[in-house]
Amino acid sequence: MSGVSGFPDVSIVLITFNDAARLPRALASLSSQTLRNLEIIVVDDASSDGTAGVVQSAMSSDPRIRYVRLDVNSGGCSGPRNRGIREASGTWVMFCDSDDEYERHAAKNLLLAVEGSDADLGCGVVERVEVKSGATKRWRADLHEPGVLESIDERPDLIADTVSVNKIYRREWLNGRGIEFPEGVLYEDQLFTLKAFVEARRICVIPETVYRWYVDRLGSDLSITQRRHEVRNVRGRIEVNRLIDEYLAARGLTELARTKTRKFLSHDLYLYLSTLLELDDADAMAVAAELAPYVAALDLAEAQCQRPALRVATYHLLVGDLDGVRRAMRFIRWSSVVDAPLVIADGSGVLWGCAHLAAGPSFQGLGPEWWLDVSALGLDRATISQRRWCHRLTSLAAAGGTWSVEGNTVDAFGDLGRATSVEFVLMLATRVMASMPLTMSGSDRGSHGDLSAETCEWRWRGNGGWSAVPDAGLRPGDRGFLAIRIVIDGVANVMPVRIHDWAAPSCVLSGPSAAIDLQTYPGEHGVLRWRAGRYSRTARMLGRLSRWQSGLAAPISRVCRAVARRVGERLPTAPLVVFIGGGGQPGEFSGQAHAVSAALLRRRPDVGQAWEAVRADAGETSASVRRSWRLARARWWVLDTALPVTMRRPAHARSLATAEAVPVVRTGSEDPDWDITPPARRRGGSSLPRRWDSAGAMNPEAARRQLDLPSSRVNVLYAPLGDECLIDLPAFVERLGDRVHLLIASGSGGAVDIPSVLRSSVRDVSASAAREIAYAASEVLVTDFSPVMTDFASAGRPVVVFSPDFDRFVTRTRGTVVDLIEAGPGPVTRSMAELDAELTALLGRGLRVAEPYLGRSRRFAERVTPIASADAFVDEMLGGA
Amino acid sequence: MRILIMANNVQELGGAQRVVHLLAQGLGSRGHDVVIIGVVPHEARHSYESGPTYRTVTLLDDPYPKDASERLAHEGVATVRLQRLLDDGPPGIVITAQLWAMEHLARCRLDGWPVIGQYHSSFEAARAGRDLTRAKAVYRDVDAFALLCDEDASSFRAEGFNNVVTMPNPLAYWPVEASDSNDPVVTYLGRFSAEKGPRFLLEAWRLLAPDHPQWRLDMVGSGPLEQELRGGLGAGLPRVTFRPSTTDPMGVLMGTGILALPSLTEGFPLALAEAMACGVACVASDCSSGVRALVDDGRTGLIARRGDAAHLAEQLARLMESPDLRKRLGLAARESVEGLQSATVIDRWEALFVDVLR
Repeated sequence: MSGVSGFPDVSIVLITFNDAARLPRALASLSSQTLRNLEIIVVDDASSDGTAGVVQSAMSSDPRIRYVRLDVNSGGCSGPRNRGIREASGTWVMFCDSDDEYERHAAKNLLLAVEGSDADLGCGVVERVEVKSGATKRWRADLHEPGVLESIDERPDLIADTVSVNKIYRREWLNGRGIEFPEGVLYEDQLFTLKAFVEARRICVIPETVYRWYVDRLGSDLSITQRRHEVRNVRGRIEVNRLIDEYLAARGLTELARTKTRKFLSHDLYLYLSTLLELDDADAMAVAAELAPYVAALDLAEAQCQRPALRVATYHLLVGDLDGVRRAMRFIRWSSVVDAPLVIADGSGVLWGCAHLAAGPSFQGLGPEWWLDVSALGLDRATISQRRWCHRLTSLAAAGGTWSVEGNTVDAFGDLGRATSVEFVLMLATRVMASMPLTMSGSDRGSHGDLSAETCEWRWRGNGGWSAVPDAGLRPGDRGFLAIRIVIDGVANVMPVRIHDWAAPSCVLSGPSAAIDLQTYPGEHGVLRWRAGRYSRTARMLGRLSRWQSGLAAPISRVCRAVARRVGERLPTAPLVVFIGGGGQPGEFSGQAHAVSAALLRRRPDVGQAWEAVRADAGETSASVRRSWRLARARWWVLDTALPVTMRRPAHARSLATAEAVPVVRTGSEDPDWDITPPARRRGGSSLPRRWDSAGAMNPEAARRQLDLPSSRVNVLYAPLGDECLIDLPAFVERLGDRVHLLIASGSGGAVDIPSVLRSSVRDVSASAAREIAYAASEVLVTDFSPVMTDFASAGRPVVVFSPDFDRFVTRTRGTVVDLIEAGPGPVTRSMAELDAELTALLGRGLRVAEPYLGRSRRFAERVTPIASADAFVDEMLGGA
Repeated sequence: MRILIMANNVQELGGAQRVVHLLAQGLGSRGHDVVIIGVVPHEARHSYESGPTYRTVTLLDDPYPKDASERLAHEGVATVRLQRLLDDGPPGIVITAQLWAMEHLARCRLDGWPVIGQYHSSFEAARAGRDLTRAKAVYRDVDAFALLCDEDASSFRAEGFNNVVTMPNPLAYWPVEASDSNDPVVTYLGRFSAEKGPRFLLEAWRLLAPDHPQWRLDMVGSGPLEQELRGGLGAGLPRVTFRPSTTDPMGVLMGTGILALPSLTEGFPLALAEAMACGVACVASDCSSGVRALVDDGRTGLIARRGDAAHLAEQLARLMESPDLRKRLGLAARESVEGLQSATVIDRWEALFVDVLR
């Protein structure tokens, strides 16, 4: 009853060239397919490494493998694949590359699908795997709505699925129709799959993942030298597109040709034009020269499907203005950073300002005002704080303690000229922009040029390096970026300083002590980033000394620290308060902690203050005797983060918590089973510290004004515990964007990437200063397990728990302190649809919290006693001493 | 062909066990060499008639102990015995009816044995508990993962199971003719436990009884809530009869006018499928993908909102007041479950074997 009839059902053609390292993975994925009746044909394109040996050893354990070696290297994929088709004996053929692998059930799923529907061609989903991070993404899964198509005309968009490896082909049909890979052409997949789609009598699309495509992003993004092939690549792509056009024209398939043109203009062209940002001028000109004639010959009315900025770039390509293309592409690549003046035309929206606007040429009857219309982006709706200025660095120098920074900003919206007061501040921002008030000394006296000009020049000079808030200092390895804060009539905007040229300036800014300097380097999106370390010669020497010391003295130091702790804990406490903050980022403290610090300084200047940053994973970041002593003797601990399991609070220290410090997830300290403290040292009970109630601390109206939020929509805060935004933003905005303005505050303060078209409805408030204001300003909270939940519950505001991963997290990963399903402050949703339904219902009820959540919210918040202000916090603290 | 069917135990009087025995019976009578393997014995020791067509084996002599280290020893013994059964002849096919059984099988060497995994609850139930995570660990790589209905299959597929197939449970019997009973009886057939929702039915009956004096309510079953239902809620209601659970559900169904399934949770409810096979009009609560797969609201039965007694009463009243509607739904229901006849389902299993072995 087994289906083996002498011939294999499927022949898999695995092509390889000098890839002995990754070949075993690919082979193993084919050998372990749940489809047994298959043959594996390894076509070796004349490798000179150990490929033959790898295949031989695989053949000894799997007799279904055959080895075909080409005598001469073919230089491409087409030759080996065509040879594989000729060698194949199966009813069906599939293809695989040696650096990728098949999903375990791929061959069987595709085979059963095409047999069941009597199709010539079947295709499944490709999963992209980032080699470095292991992150996976289903590639263009939107195209793979399952179904059986009588012909490609039923779903022309499917031609965008241009890879050959996620498909199964009827072998006789391939041969009968003469469909083969074009030799001597790069991107042979594109022509091959298109022909297959066109010729297929029936096409079967399955929803399962069939292929894992390993992508080494570093390899493709890295350096200019690796981009040298770009001209050749673009030429290759255009060549294959010409072949496809000829083929479609010869077959009279006009509708499909139109779809293909749209795909080229919106997808392919984006890729090619992006590369112009990284190529030097000569190469870029060469690429543009290849592209322009091809694009000009297309039906340009189809450019309507392009996103506005890409259409602007296309126009500049046609005009032959390389700089203009780059500006528009930078706008897309750098998330809507506007590097050109915008013209707000009466009644007809927003136009991209450039030299061609007034008298540029028309193409196929389409004039500049059609090409340059960017109204759809809604840039004019952005408020001052949402503006995406491009601060362009033109010169950066530092030597012998003096430094200078120069650059300019295109005043795209004319805001600077209109304003009555404008202030420029140069900042060394950390990932959490405003929380680390580092400034360049002397920088607050920067100068800027004519504000009414289209481009505003600015310049800062100083001597002395950077300075920082004491004790919240940088450590070697910390990173950040250079930013400019513009305050226009009281409303602030912080945007990074960017470099437009790939060869970026790199220099060392010295710090206040010899300990740490900043090394600048170019980062993603053209942002000028810095890394803290020991770079100057004296600092390097001191660093080496201290490393040597710590290496040698580690055991001694450990003993000293233990002694310091033991002794310190036995002595009477010192009038000292330790602020313990972190959440992963050293030096990150909430505004509440700073406010308490200020109030304390005002009331009790005699009380010493120390700042202790912990990393949630490591517990202790620095191990000094001084630190152990300080922690042991402090009379008060102010927790600005959940205390890591590895840190132990001495019994006599009184602790209070800010809003950030009352966890919803288990940290281990609340559960005797998880507690690693020896039983003898445990303190009775694990009552929660009192905490500052932040949502109630600020007037919501004032908060909304301060954040410059729309008043016509409901402000919903999304505060995930981690860094990842799990809400499908485009879908969310599509459904609720007209009624809801979404604020996103990621748990660790990391910025969340928001697609530019959504910016008028979604706002990132992860930076901690903005975050706390956002807590007050938002009317509804959506979160998985953020401690903010407690604030919203205590303020009686609606909470919706949203976590697609809820069950695994609760049962497997960490678990929560309170059973959120039974006693949480709001409904638990696990999918976008459920979240959508809950929010819609909530909006329908006028944001009223429904039973049973009203009572539950109260009980949830009552776990901890709230404190209302910084002064009350200090009272509480001192009073209990 | 050798076919091993594994379940947590093979003696319990439960849904999965009934199906396992039916399947073994069906496959055995077609000449396959079928062995049912239970991991542990069950105190109930319900004796299924195993007959000459298949054998049953239980791996362990006593249930798993509480103590973790002893559990390890049990696990070892179970693995060794199971491996011996696998190695005892040429490879065929293993079917694991339940997750825990699969977790045992996963410890064995499976040279050449294709595995078909089954999950008898709904996706919702799997996600609510830990089953989804457990299933991900053992069921993603097996040759086929069989779910009871399409809705569950696609939910599991969305969770990264690329091997899902739909395989409904077979019916134990197929009445030669549809029931032509016009008896004014509403029947409840199932355990008296909270999740089966008998309270809602009695609640609905309270609303219905005054307006439908000729109708009776027959509560057939037993269970933890029995005393409470008989004494409390049920006592004050007119024309309610409590009867003990029966070994002849078909006999009960053939004499009933309407079957009510007021459950709060269900998998793929056999009682409902059986009633439909008898041509009895049904009202079922919208409590699982299995119910939705069986009942096409308004065509093959009526759906009532889950846990909503008033809506249940409303739907029952529609049927009670219209013999034509009962007849029409009943016949459509019988037709719609024809595919669940044992022979048809066994055909589907054999077709699945062919696919799996390719």
